[in-house]
Amino acid sequence: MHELAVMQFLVEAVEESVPSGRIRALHLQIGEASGCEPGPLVFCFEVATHGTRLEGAVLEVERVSGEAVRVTELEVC
Amino acid sequence: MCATCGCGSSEHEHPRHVLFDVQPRRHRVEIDLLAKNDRIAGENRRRFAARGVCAINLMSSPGAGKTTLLEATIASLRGVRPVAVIEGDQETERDAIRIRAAGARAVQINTGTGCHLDAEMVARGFDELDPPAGSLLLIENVGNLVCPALFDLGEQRRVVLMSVTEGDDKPVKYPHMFKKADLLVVNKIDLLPYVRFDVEAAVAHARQLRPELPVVLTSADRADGIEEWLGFLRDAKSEAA
Repeated sequence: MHELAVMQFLVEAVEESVPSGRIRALHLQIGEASGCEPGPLVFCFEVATHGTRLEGAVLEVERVSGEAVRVTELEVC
Repeated sequence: MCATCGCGSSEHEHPRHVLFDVQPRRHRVEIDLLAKNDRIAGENRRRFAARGVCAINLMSSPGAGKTTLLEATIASLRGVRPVAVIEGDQETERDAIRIRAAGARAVQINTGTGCHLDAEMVARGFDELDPPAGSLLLIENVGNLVCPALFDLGEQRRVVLMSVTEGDDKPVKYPHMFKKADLLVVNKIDLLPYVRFDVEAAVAHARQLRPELPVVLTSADRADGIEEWLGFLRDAKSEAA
């Protein structure tokens, strides 16, 4: 289940890039050739964000071409 | 919203929490989730090169014969070239013990619930191993044809093993792994008379994903095909040097 590792990277990277406040929503692009599936990623998101500033955030998922998995928008307050 | 706990309630009554009205702000960002792993993999690659170390990432499903191939490799390179091994498994030191018994230095990484090695684990393993200059560094990934495909470790070459006791259609079932391979090793060929494995079909499936993928047929147990495998390692080494 590499999706959990990928979601742990997400939490770490988002918390680093947003020094304070809570994350309300994230827009996540998942490359068709990334080797990551939206279902397990969404499942692992909840586990990985538990007890962090991302807990309870809305995760919007968009399938795109390519290999990357990246966050392109954040809603913070 | 509460500025302390961020609970979002306008009816908040907790005495220590401060309420004020903030509208959520939406930002455009560019956060690549594998960037951290890729950055560490890049550092690994530079450190390996600085020490003249050639690193090979070996991946397969469990039981394809990675550790046995490594034992045969170590035996063949004794006195020729230093070999060091990073072993990845969820639990136990069993493989590292086998590698040390075969005569190479080895460090075992236990991933616990994790299903793959990542670049940071390999960086730690490299520190611990501290292999001599010019070593061949063999990284035996966790037995798994899915997750290890995603994680660059800083290796020079990616090798995928499959054994003839598996289905010859493994490449098309697990395409990510085979798409990124630099070599396919088909192992346990001594068992071919007893199993329904079509070598040509397996190679065709793999080359459908990675055209011109080099293939080596081995029986690590009987040291068949080891010369071709060592040839691949020599070529990787001269390119890395």
